[in-house]
Amino acid sequence: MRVNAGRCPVPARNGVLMSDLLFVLVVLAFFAVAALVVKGIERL
Amino acid sequence: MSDTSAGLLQILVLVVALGVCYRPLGGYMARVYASERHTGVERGVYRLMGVDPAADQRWPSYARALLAFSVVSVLFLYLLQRLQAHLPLSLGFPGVAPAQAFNTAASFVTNTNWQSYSGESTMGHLVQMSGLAVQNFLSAAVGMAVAIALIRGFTRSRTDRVGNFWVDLVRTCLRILLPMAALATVALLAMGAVQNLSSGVHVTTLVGGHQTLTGGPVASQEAIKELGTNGGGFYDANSSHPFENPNPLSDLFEIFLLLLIPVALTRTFGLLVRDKRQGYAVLSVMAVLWGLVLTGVTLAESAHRGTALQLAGAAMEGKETRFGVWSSTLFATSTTGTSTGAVNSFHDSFTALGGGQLIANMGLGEVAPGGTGSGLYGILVLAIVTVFVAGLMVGRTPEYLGKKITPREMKLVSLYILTTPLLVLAGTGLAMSLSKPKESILNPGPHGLSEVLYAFMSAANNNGSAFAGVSVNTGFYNTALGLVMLAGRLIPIVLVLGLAGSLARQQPVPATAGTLPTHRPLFVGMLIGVVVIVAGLTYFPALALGPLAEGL
Repeated sequence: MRVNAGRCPVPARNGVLMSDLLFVLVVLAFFAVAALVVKGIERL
Repeated sequence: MSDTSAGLLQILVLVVALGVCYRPLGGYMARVYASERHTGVERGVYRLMGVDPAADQRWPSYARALLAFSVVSVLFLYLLQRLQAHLPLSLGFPGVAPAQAFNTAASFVTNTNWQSYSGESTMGHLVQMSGLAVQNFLSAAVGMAVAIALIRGFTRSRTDRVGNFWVDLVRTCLRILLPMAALATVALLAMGAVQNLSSGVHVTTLVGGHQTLTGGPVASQEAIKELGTNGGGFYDANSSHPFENPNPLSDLFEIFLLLLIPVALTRTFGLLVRDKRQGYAVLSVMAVLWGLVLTGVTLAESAHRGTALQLAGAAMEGKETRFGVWSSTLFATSTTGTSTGAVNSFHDSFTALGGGQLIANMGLGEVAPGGTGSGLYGILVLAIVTVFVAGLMVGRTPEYLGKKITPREMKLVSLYILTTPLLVLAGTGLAMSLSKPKESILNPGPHGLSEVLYAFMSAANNNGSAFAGVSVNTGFYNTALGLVMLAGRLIPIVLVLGLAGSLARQQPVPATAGTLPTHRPLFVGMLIGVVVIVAGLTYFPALALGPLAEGL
């Protein structure tokens, strides 16, 4: 809920930061899986 | 001169130009990768990075170094876009939205260069220069490094070392891509491409309207965009924009640039495996496939079916009148065959069968002739499939370049071949089954399916060109295509490096009377057949529901 419209949009900024965090985690998770694929192929 | 004569002359000039550069460039690249000497600048870079250039890596270390480099690249590019508003040369643009920044970071690091943004209204000069253009060099260099590591797998024996990733990366950038891009930039400038740091010139048009002409470091980005088979345009209109591609001469030059390295790498391959005929065989396969698709697309676009086409003399919708049908089909075939993704015409406006062939061209696995490095390792993987099939026919253990193809190699090759279709078909299926992504489709019926199929085909094969006709700047498409680009690039690369390590460990076997010669026309024909059959079996149902249903 925006209680201070016209000033600092706190809820929106928090939403953006959450999105940033989410995408950074997605990237890290993807590369962790890719590293596991390397490990898996080593054992193939 | 008729359109047909001009078109044929253009193809002839292109082929001759590539032929002239083939031996010197291929030979030069072979010397770069075979050299044991490091230049002073390179030694400085290694010291800065804390890398020992003399230390060869086992394939897992090579792969981990590549993955570590890629994850840092994605995060850096993401951060650069998000913080754009606070950085110089932003031209007043805000930070790129999170999903779009993720998509663009994944896109440029994977050499895909898919763009869900309009360059001139989203990216400031700093992001274009220090983010996107830098990745144009690095992502191309990564592809070439992997191809060279695979070649080492064939040439080395009883070792588990496939080279040093950092050395391959730095050498490719400093000795190959940078000098060539500098020369190409000067040539493009001479042809009329713009190069400045202008924030835009405001003009009043003849009818009294107002327009802002955005400038920027276009020529330098254009050069590596084509040379590195990247494809991300400075402007939304890509290579149909007159600042990026001013005239028919620059158009032909750009097509030449995007084909140059993938073609010349076959010479490098032949020299490094000490049998130039192997390079010619692989080049022949690439050339035949490229020629077949070019013929098919040109015929489809030149056909005069329908009133509008009869009046225009060809399928001119979505094509630049400066270039016409022949230059558009030549560019489109070359860009979809090299994983470049640059466009000088609107692929969505191609005829159903012409556009369908562009989708199928990407579905071949980007091997005709493929991206910088990725085209070569892609065709070598398919060559292994070919010797395997030939081995099954005669009941012998398959061999390629003196290395036995054992179950371990075939497992890796099979996984490689399955990865991309899985991403394309699962991604398309998911997008077509969810209601929100379907709202992004701007055309109903089979053409709508073609648009979604093209998007996932382009992303998974790291091409980057767009059929358009789909509003992809949404949370779903930005995220899904971003993940598909990462998986479509890095999982095959890891498998290829695993293959390189596996081959390098083997003792070479001498050729006998029962060994299938892999430099003869028979093998070339078989390899063409394997490429077409693998792609056909995989994608024919989807193509039948999309472009074929629309066109027939």
